[in-house]
This record gives sequence, C-alpha cells and structure tokens, in this order.
Amino acid sequence: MKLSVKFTLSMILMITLVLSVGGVIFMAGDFNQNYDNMVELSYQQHNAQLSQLQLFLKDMEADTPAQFHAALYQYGNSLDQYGGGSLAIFMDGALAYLNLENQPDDSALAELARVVQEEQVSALNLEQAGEGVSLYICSNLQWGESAAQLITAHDFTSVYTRRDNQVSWFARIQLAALAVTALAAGVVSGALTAPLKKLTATATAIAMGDYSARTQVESQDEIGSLSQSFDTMAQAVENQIQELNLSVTQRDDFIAAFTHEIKTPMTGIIGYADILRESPPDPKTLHTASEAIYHDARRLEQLSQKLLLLLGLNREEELELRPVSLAKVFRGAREALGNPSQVEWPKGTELRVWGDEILLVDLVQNLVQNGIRSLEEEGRVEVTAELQEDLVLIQITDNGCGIPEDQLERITEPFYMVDKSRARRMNGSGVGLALCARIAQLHGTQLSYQSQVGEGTQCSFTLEVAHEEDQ
Amino acid sequence: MKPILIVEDEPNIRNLIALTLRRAGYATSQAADGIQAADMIEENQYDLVLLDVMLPGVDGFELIDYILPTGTPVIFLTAKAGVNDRVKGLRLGADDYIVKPFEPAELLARVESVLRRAGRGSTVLRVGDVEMDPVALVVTKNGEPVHLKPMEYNLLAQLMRNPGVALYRSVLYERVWGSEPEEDTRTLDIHIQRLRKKLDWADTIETVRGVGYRLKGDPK
Repeated sequence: MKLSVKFTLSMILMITLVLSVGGVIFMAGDFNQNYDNMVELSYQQHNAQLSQLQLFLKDMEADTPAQFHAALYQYGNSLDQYGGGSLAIFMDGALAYLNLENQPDDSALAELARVVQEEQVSALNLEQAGEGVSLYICSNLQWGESAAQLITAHDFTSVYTRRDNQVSWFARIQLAALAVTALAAGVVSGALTAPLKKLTATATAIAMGDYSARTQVESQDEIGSLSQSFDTMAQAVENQIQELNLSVTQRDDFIAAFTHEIKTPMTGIIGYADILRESPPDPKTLHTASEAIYHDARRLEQLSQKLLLLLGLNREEELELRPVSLAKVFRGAREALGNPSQVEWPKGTELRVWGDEILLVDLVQNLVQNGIRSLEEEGRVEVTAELQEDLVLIQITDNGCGIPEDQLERITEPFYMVDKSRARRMNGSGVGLALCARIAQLHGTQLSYQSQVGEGTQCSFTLEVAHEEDQ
Repeated sequence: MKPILIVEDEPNIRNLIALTLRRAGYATSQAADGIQAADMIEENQYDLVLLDVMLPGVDGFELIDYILPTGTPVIFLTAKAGVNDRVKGLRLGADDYIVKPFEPAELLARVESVLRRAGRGSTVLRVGDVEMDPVALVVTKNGEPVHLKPMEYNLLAQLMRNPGVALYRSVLYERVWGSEPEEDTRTLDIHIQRLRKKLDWADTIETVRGVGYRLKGDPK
C-alpha cells in the first residue's frame, strides 16, 4: 500500500475514533440530564395530582370504603368535566378510572398497580406505546381501611426525539469532518512523498548508469537531508567511477606501451635467430644477427629489471629510512654509470640524509643517465647538493636538448619517451623516470623539472637531513 | 619490379625485414619515420609498403591516408594485437596486418599473398630449367606446368628461395608443416623424394649429412 494512502487512512481512522467517542460521551450526558430533569418534573406533577386527590377526598369526607369508592369516581368525573390530567386509578386490583394518552396495555398498568399495592412503594415504569414514549408513575393512596393506586402518565417522547436528532446531526457533522480530513491528509501526504518519488526516480537513473543524476530536493526536513545525503553519495560514486575509468585508461595505455616495448626486441630476437638456424650462416650474417640478438636481449633484460623494481616499489607502502651518506650515494651512482667524463659531481660533501641507499643510488644514476642521454657532443651534466635548513636540495642540471613544455607533465609516465629514436639509440626504456618518481615519493619528496628546449634541463628534489643526534 | 618500402623506426627490425625480403629476392627501401616515408612515397613508386603503426612524428594510421591514393598496397606492422586495432587498421584500407613478434617466413608469406592479390611485383624464382611464380603459385619445367601438392610446393619454395644453401632438416620441416617435427619422422624425406621424381632433380637436391638438404645453384 502506498505511503500516502496509509497516512490518509490512519488519519481518517483517528478522526473517526476521536469524534465518535467524544460525540457518544457528549450525547449520553445530555440525554441523561434531560431524562433526569423530566423524571423529577414528572414526580412533582404526580405528587401535585396526589395532593389534589387527597384534598378532594378530605372535602368529601369519604370515611367508609363505599364513600371512598364513590369519591374516587366522582373525582374522575370531575376531571373529565374540567379536562384536567392524564391519570388512572386502581382500586383492589380493578381499574377505577382511566384517562391516559398513548394508553398502554391494561394488564401492564394492572401489574404496576398490584406491585405498588403489595410492596407499599411508589414505582415508575417506562412504556413505549404507539409513536411516543411515556413514563408511568404509580403510588399507593392509603385512605383509612381502603387503598387505591394512582397512576399518572408523562410524555417522554421529546427526550428521545431530541437524542435521535442529536445523533443524526452528529453523524452528518462527522461525515463532513471525515471528508475534509481525507482531503487534507491526501494533500499533505502527497506533498510529503513527492520528494521520495524523486529519490526513487534518481536512484533508478543511477542504477541504469546515469551517474550524473541528482535529486536536488532542497527542503529543510528529514526527507530534504536524506536527499542531500543521497546527492552527496551519488557525487562520491560518480567521482569514484571517473577515477576507475581513468585508471583503466591508464592501465590500457600502460599495457599498450608495455606490449610495444616487449614485442619490438622479441621480434628482433626471433627474426634473427630464425635466419641463423635456417642454414649455416656466412660470417657477415652471423655477426649482424648475433649483434642484434644480443642488444635486443639486453634491452629486454634491462626493461624487466626496471619493471620488476617499479612493481615492487609500487607495492611498498612505506620505506624504512636510515641515515645515508650522500657522498656514498654519489660514488655508487658514478660507479654504476661507469664514471662518465661528462658528469661533474659535488666535491667532498659530508651531508647525511634519511633514505634507502640502494634506491637513492638508483635515483641519482637514472637522473644523471637521462641528463647524459640529452647531451650533444660538448654537453655536461652537473650534480649539486646544497643544505637548506633541514633539507638537502639535490639538483641535476644538463645543457642538453631540453624537454618541450607540453611534455614535461608526462615524462614520468611509464614508457613515455620525448624523443623515441634518441632514447632507443641511448638504450632508454622509458621506465626510468617512472621509477625515479616513485623512489622520490617513497622518500617524501617529488621531482621538479625546469627545462628549455635547446638550453637544457634541471631536475631537483629534496631529502631530509639526518643530524648526528638522530643516529 | 619496384622495391618494397619498409617504414619502421626500430633499426633492428627494419634491417631484419630488409634482410628477409632481400633473401627472397625483393628489392627494398627503408624509412625510419613517417615524414621521411611520406617524402619517399611522393618521389618514388613502390610495389608494397610495410608500415609500422607506432612511429615518431606521423604515425602509421595517419600515414596510410598519404599512401592509399597512389594505389600501393599496405601491410601494417604492429605490437598491438587487439581486435579493435586490427579492425581499425583494415578499415583504414590496409591489405593485411602483421603482429609483432613475427617470424621472417610469416612476413614473407603475407607479403607474397598481398602482392598476389594486388597483381604486383611478380618475382619469378628460377633454378635451372624450373621456374616458380610465388605470386601466381605456378611451377613450370621447360615451360611445362608441373603439378605439385601443397606441401610439395611449400617445400620447393623453401629450397628455391635459398639456392646453394644447406638448410637444416628441423627448420625445413617446421616452415613447411608449421610445427616441430616428431622424432624419426620420414615425412620430409618422402616429400623430397617426390620432388626429385616430379622435377627430375635426383642430383639437384642434395642430401647434406648432419644438416639436411641443399638445392644446387648459385647463392643469392
């Protein structure tokens, strides 16, 4: 069942209950009071009638039962004559006089009189006769040896009519109130659930793949804050999806570049080997082919080494850093590069930094190697280390070919090469700088580049100084 | 016959392709990047262009627009093996698509197949009085057609491409039948016997002890 229908029905039920209970209590109270008033009034009339009868009997000096009888008849006749009162008189169980409107059963009246005579009490009885309702009051009249029962009738119809009128009036009021309630509840619940419909529609849209869908409900109530939370969640999901798509694209790019880098040397190795195994080769072919196989295999080997290191470092969350002597790092890089003559190293530095010695040697070696690869014949690469408060600024500067500005951003992407044929000639794989960037990151720093095409490139990064007391 | 243009930025691969094609009797020209290739295509005519997709400067997918109006067939060379790249290359108008790493024999087969379809660059192989047209797939002796079964044809093609060269048994078998030989198989020897008989080449196809077979003739 829909929420708005539930709400409307429960409102109707509640209003019905409250109105009914209230109405019943009110009408019952009103009826009881009217009834009591009428009973009291009826007694007064009855007593007045009784006193009048007693006065009459006294005047007539009816002392004997015969006289009493006669007097009663006479009283009845006089009442008929003057048209006063609606009453019945019983004597010794027999009807002595009768003049009642809405006359009920004679036997019922006789029964009433008999009870009153035997029990010596006054009694009242409510009878319905014809259209109306009447109250009959009966009291015992002891007169010397004789006794008679006086019954008066009192019309109660108006009390009941009034009650019935109230009930039907109240039913109409209640019906009208329910109609108004249903209408109002429908409108209110409709207004309350409209944002929920929008939420549902938005959630469905998102489920169908429209990640930019938003509810944009801006009310200040709970539904409003739910919608705002929902929109925030949808935004987070959309961002996440975009990031995922981006990383998928990057991975695809990586795989495409990786495939190319692997397959090119593979082609050389397989192709030349196939020529060699076909027939006993002549010396020239043998030389060309073995040379090509050797270099392609070396290239593959270097690539796999760097890739393994990069993958390993990517998995590493945090490095355990130790105090490392910079002089040792530079010496290591220099030896790994085969002491190239174009490079000028910092002299006699006594600085110690926090780092991983092997990775730092790799970092400096790769950066210097890149500098050397960019050089023309007369070029030089300069490495400097400079203390700046708690940091050491290391700069590797070359006066080589430089990097175009629009490519600076991409040089740390794996397999990205600014000048592919130059990098090839120099045995570059395109993985070195991606590796450097990761090593720098693990040391809490990053590589920053400044470059001018034709002028040269400067790469710099900082390392934290390891003080004596730290060690 | 016009040369085949090889557009490839990796010198090793370029040399390998040139060597393979030259050994099969084709003339070659080489370009190391897209711009150089475009210049060469404008100035000269070629029977076929072997085009690397990933090139510095202008890449292969862009360069093919330069080449197609000349009517020269194109074969793409690429490391990308994805179906999408293949379809893209063929849709752009390439005649075939060779994925690296490839074996020289495969390259040669593709080149010949494209040349055959384009009706270009027929290189007739000739040893003695036997002629083989690898594009038309016809073998004649003294001008008379010789009927050969497919494997016999493939084996003869291997021998005629390398006259005067002793070819290893295992390599011959692998190139003709496409898989490494089972031990002690006589299949190769039986086919050699059939060729000797059909072409009357009992002495021309020599058995080389410890190596395999050699077709008598002048080495290229």
